[in-house]
Amino acid sequence: MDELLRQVLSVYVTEVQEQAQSIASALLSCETGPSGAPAYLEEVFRQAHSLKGSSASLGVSELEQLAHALESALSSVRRGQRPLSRELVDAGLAAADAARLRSSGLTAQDDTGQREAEEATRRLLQLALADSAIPEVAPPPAGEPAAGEPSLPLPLAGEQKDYVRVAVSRLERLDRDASELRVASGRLTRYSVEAAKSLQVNNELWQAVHKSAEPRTQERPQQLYQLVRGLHTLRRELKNEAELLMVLAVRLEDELRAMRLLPASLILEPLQRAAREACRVTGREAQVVLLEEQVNLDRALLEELKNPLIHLVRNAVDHGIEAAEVREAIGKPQRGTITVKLEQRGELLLISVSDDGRGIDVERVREQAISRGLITAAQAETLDETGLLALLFAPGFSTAETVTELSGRGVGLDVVQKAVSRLHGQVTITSTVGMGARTEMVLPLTVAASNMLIIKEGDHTLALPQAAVENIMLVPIAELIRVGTRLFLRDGDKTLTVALLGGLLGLKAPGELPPRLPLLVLRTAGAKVALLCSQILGEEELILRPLPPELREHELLSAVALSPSGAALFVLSLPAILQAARTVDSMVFTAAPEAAKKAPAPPVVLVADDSITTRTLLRSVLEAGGYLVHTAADGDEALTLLRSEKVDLVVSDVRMPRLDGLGLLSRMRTDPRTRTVPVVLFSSLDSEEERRRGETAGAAAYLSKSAFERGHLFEVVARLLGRAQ
Amino acid sequence: MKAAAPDVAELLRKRAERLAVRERAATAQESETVAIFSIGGQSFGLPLADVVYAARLQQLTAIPRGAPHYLGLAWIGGYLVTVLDVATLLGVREAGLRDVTICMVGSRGGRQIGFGAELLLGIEDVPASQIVPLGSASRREAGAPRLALLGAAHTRLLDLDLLLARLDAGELAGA
Repeated sequence: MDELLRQVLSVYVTEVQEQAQSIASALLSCETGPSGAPAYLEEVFRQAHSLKGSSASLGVSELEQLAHALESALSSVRRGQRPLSRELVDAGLAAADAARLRSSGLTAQDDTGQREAEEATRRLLQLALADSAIPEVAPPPAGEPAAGEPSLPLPLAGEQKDYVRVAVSRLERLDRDASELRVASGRLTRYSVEAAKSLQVNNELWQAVHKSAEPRTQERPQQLYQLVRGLHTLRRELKNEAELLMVLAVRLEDELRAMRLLPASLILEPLQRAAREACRVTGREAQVVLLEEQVNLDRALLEELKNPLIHLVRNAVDHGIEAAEVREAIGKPQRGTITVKLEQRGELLLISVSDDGRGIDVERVREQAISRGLITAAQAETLDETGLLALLFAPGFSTAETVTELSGRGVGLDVVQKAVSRLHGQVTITSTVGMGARTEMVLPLTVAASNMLIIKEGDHTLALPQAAVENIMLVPIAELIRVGTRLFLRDGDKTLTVALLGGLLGLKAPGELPPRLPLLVLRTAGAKVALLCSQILGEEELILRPLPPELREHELLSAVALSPSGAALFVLSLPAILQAARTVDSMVFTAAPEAAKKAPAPPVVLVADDSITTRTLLRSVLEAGGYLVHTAADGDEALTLLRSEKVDLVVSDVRMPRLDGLGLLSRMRTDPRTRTVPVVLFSSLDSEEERRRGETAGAAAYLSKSAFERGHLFEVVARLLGRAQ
Repeated sequence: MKAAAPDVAELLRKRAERLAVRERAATAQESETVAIFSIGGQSFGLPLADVVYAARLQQLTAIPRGAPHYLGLAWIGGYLVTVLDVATLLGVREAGLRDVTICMVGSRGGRQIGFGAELLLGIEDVPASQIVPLGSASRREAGAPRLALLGAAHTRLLDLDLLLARLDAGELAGA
């Protein structure tokens, strides 16, 4: 690659992509808007000329020739000697695609797009030469305008602004750092809370010592007083710093988000092309009209929206817009109109795709849903129009009778539903027979931070978009109605389907449930579903991230939310919950009798291990065995817990940071509160000498990690607690 | 503290130094530099150039209905990564329980993935003469197609491209 090109490659490639996009967009506008055609054609020439100039100056001859061929092919149209044919628009669009593809090849330093660029050039030159009356324009020297063409308009002094091109990847890195900053500030806040607790303890100590101190130990309360004061100052400074850091992080995130915004109008070109292609396949006539009031969207959001909107536009052409002769016969314009409307309302983005076609035959939807086994005939009877139209979002649903290039393969509106769900939005369809159909989507405007409801089930802490939660109630389990393997709840005069979060997560069914549990009423895709979970932890505004590629197909999850403490929480997918409510068998359970509440509390085991995987494993093993489990990441943390919580037994690793297992054991043995608490050492150090050291230090048992068996652990723990297994 | 584990910062420093030297020298590749770690009773080598971060695992989120080779999800050094138990993934894990306390973040083509580790065993320049292919016998080990013979120990050399491709295709033992 030429050295000059290497130096400016990223800028050049971005420019080519923008020019190609402008060319395609202007060509489509030329085709659909005759009144504005000359202005759009000028835009095509302006962009092609610019592409030719920059390509020539950098020696990218294939794109220079491509741009030149495009100018040649359109010259006669510009001079009014022939109309803009469909063939010319096709060739122009192919040229724009080829330029985009070649720019990717230049980035990858391979020949991607080379062949396509050459083919597109050849096709354009053929079209230019087809009209023999039109002389071919010789390529001008790089950087100079072609003869007979207007000079490129120079920007006016007043319009000049300073811009710096920044790669999206760099913005993403900055965004990542901003999130890390926010997490760090969350940690500081946590430390400040811990400092406050220490302060409280020290304060109490100081009061106690102050009251009991003898005259000869007067200096001790004074020292403690100084310590309390020092801690107090430290806590205040920590709190202030944490707040400042949070303000800075949020401001940085906001600025970065603003930098990533793009005009929503960029979505028009792919939609116009999708409609054009669908019209070609079906023989229908349709145009796409975009209504938006300068809405700017996050690049990621725009990218996520592209495919579902394309799908809706293709669907409108294939299923909605009637054939031209039918439309004429019923008094509609021959060309159908698909209107895409984007509107910002506060923090929400409202998108609608409506067509003026035949609308949706609800009875046909009902028949198809029954024949495809999505619902039974009896269920179908109970569904109103909204409920029936919501079935269009079910996977595999299609009303098309034959397989065409566009429909009938069972890849239906569930694609739209999934995408909207990933973006934590909602989608609904309405229709008027003979007048058209309308799909409406409501999405949070930003994908960066959202209000989330935090819930807990077993070891899993999960998040749900607050916007989808219609109601939260505490439900007596006895009020749930069981029909076969499914659960329902009466809500006024309606019946709600109930999904159990534990069942959804594949957790082991508990023998009994508490008499009352929190129930969330969720609304998605026009349908309601209730989710029963064991705990609601609260509400938080959290930064959202897409799932890592390995987990994108996970049916239960839609995103990851980052908590201020740095923990990643999974965001549940609403369609998955809806689906589960319809299909997943409920867990077998019985409500715990009131007396059960008075049953003795389970023994408490403290697990101390610096390995998070070992802690998690031991916690789940012991909890499954009926123990209440606390965890600590090292001996120090374990000691702190032992001072504040009642613990019946400790399972501890030997090697840990700060205070190791033997140190913990020795400290416990000198404290009257913990002297008799049995300690099981659980270590990968399993030599005889290590075992002896453990036993000498006072361990009640010594288990080897490499020979771990859950049965053996249960046996040892039960024996030490004098508990029958 | 796991005394045997070299300091993570030291590992990253060495990585930067060696990559810089390699860039300057641009010599024919006669050896491969790998970061060696252990998990599940096995040792694995990840090309040093693919390691972008390594740190102690502070928080790990369990994946609901996750495959057994996924230890969880972690937000580490600004990277949100799925943390793999590569020994389980390749079907070579030994019985028993071990402490996963470290996560190394590998990166390829803008995609990152975490490797859970019990110990970081160090950085080795493995001469080409000491690297042998595993052959086609074991499809399960497709993400680690070669062995480095380092003294008495055998280290499975991970190929991140291959591993990610096979992982996506669900072709590995645990997938």
